[in-house]
Amino acid sequence: MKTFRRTLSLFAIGYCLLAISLTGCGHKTLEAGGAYAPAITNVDGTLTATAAPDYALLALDSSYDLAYETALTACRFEQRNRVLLRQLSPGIKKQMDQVRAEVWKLDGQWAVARKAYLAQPVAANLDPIRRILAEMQRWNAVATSLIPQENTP
Amino acid sequence: MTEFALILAGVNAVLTAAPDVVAVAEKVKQTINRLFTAGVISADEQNRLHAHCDDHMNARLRGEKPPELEIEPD
Repeated sequence: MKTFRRTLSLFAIGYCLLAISLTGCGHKTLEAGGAYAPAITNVDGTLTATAAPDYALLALDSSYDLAYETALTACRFEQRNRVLLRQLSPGIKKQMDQVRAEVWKLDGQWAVARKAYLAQPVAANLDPIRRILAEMQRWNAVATSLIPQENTP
Repeated sequence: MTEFALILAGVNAVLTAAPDVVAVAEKVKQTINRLFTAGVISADEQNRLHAHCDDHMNARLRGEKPPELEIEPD
């Protein structure tokens, strides 16, 4: 269980690092013609970009997907091992249920914010997605801290 | 729960968590590769991520809740 908690903590650190990429560090090239770098194919087979490559959305999509999956993994772990975890930490289900409610709510906000950005891809519409990602990271840290260590009485 | 049953339950917990941890670890690897190590992010890779996020977004907008987030009665 300690290993599971450590692994999830490492994931939390991992996507904090990924969040750094959102500020522009580690900027990568997007192949033209992909969903984040749309292009049309000319008659001679060459590609012409139809919009600027959207690296910011790719980084946010990638980071949010990882954050969400990590949250689901922590919730699944608690769900499958509830009897054991309750012996070690009697209040864990109630606390994890709070995490579940927040993750579900944040995920709904993310879906609305992402849809709004796709409809109108301006930089200002990325701000709500960044805020939601930061909140999701916070709730992941909470979920990880709730999983008891093996020497917890 | 007796001490022995607790130990068995602990072993079972680690075993059942292993595939989940491996799946998330693979996602971490993909994400780090995508954002930090890959020189060019291919069109296929972009399309896969975009389609996956679109599916997730649309499912959430339809109100489809994953079983992990269901709040079960005490």
